[in-house]
Amino acid sequence: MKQKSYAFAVASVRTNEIKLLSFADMEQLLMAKSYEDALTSLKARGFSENDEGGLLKDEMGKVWEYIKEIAPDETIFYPFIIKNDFHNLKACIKSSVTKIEPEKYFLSPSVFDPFKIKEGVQNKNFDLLPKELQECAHEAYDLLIRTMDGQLVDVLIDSYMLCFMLNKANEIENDFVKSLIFDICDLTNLKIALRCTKLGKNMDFLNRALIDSPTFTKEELIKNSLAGLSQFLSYIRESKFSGAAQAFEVSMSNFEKWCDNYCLEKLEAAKFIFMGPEPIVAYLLYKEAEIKNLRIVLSGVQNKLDPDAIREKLRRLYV
Amino acid sequence: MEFFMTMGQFFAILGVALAVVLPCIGSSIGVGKTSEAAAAVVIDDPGKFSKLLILQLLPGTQGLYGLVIGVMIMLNIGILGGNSNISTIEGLSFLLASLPIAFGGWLSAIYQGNVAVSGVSIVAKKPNESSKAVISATLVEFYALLSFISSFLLVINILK
Repeated sequence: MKQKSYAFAVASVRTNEIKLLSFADMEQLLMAKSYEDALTSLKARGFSENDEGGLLKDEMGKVWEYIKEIAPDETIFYPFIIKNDFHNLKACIKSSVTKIEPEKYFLSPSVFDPFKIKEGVQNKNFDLLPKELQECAHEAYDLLIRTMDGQLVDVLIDSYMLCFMLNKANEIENDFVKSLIFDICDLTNLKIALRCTKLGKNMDFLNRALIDSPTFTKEELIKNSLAGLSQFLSYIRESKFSGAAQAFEVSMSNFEKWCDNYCLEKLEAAKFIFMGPEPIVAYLLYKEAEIKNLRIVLSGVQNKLDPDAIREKLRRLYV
Repeated sequence: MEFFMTMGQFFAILGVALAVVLPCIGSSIGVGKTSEAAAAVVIDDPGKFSKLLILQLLPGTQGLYGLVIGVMIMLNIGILGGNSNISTIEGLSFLLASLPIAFGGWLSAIYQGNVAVSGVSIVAKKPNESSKAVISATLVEFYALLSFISSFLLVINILK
């Protein structure tokens, strides 16, 4: 049994929260004269000295290692990390057909060792995979061999991922974390449904891609998606995510930003909790948002985009 | 009934045990939790140790209050020397007199520990505001003091 407590973990997280980048830091990066200047400024703040992609990729890995070190029970945070495992599974399954080595597509941090997933998929021995991925891997592999449709495989794996997250959320006794995972699942389900509606996907595709999430039933999502985009947006307006419809009308990236900000805003309540997993979840997700923001800023500076256009894309920061 | 009438010292010693053990349990929980939180901050910033020390110590005072009441009962019943012959009614009175600090000290130490843990977060994020964290934790101390004073006044007046 791990001899750790949330008193230790939360105090440790509070110490690290002050190192998160503020709006002023982001502004400073935005105003950097060159991409190199922006990188130098980031390195001065303790980001490791790799190339830009590696630099930010390493950062989330470090955060996950840190959380595993301090948290009394790391499994409560799996639903926030598991998307990388399902992404790694997609890479392995597709590489078994394309024969391209999947390593360079692997994302970290992950709950399971991606090389074990690769070994299992390459040898078509799905029993070697973690039991949470076995059924999904088997079905996705068969589907890919049968249809050669990568997009269909992606949505199938995503639906398994959402089911895993919902099952895990139901096992968690903490209401804050449970409700956050429910919202993430709802919004991911909604994102998939919106993309499918925009692309005019048929009933079969929708049936494979969507799931019953806490707010949306699969049946309702499919019915409204098949009725067209305007009907689908009216359906969203009637749900608790009405703001998502407005954001989507501006652009897809604006919609994605709205979804991220919705969850980040919810995390504000964790500031007032001093014992429990909530502040750790908040730190994990705010750090993820910070890295997303840094990618947006660095690529904007590199491509000499208008700072106002970059600012519009930035996610909510931990203030 | 005759046996019951000779149990004065037993009840008084039970009072001593409750007055000492329960607040000490509360204090060890409170100090333990606060110290764990403080350790997490000190790992990253050892300079904050002195500010955190006050918060770590605050939930420990209840154990001391309990010990003082325990020693006072022991002195009164003559267990530390002198006449140790007390009646059952007096013994029960000492037992009842120990209850305010036993329960008040026990629970207030745990709750003070929770406040002190929150205070550690204040010190971690805003070290200049550490006095506010100490004041918040001290507010809980007030109720431990009320319990201590109640037990103290009762104990010194039982044999008068």
